Amino acid sequence: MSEPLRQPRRYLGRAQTLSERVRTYWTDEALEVDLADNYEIRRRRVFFDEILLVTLHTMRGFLISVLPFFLALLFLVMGLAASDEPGAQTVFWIVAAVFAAFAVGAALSPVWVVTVYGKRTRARMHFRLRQAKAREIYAEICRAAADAQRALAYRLTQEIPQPPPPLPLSESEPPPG
Amino acid sequence: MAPLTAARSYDGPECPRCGGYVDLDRMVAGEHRCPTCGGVFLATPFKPPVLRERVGSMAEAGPEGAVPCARHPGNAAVDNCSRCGVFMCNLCRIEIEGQELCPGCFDRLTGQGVLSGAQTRIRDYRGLALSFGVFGLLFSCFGLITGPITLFFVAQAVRQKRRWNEEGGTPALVIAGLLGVAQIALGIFFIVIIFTPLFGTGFGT
Repeated sequence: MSEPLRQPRRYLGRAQTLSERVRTYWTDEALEVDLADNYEIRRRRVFFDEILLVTLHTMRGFLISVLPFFLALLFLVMGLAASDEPGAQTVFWIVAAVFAAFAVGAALSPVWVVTVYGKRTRARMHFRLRQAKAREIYAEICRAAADAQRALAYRLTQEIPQPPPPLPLSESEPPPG
Repeated sequence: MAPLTAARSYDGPECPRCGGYVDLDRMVAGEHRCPTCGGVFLATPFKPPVLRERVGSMAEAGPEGAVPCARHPGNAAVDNCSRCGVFMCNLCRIEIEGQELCPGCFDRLTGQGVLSGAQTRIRDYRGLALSFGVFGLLFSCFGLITGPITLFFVAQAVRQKRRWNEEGGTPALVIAGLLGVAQIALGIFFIVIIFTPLFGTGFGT
């Protein structure tokens, strides 16, 4: 059996926390949420006609600043240890300062988060320093959800069984009115 | 041990900041302040229509008006399974990838991995290619082993990307491919460096 070509899917964004790495894609009927779990992808879908809530908020992304912070600490200690070598000490301190500046910048920079709640699961995307992109995705998802739910409501009203047609009037019966 | 991600189940819409309760029925589109954490967020609530499948009964249609479903003899069949041809009612019919399948055929095809749209667990070749690309480079003395493995994972990831008809994500695969080639080159370089003095034909003799 030949496999039919799937509808195209477009990468929207990702969310990375200590416990999960998630990439979200756009398809014609749903958001596909790929959860990376030890080199295995667990796929879930948030269908547009099942979306209950879409939210947008900002937060500070401290997670990305953890590694540069520890590197800054490491180079600071190395700088202190190399007190006998003034040249090397200066280099270590400059590197430590660069990492520290990066860590502070990363910790203070705002992250825009778009969250989509469906009936069974949710999708979440983080956009660091990209407010316009986050708002664009938010609006796009809201529009798609509204369109899909309107179309589904219309289809359901069309499927409601119509009342049976009136029986033909017999000749003996007088016309109404 | 269960993965961390499975520790917290999904309970429906909540405050995106603290996970606190939000009253969807009273919510309107616009800015909101969470009563639990006091955080502000922009929200658009939706009320999706409730999907109700109408199942015709044999009693309504009569024995000559309909064929009974193979699984539910009391229900009138609405279709045949595209694979095995069994009669099925609206409850049994599963529409997927342009086919209408009965539950039995759906289970079999999903188990065989034929229905890609129904797969929920997939090998992450893109992640494997990137990991082997980066970590293989750290141990590039074994580049002749890790390099081809990286390139194999890149090829698998490209196939997967085509199968999913996916747009974007190419730069990561190009980087992984270049890292794989670099590993092979470094592996050859290390072998030349190690074996040249032994055979006495290299540049250093």
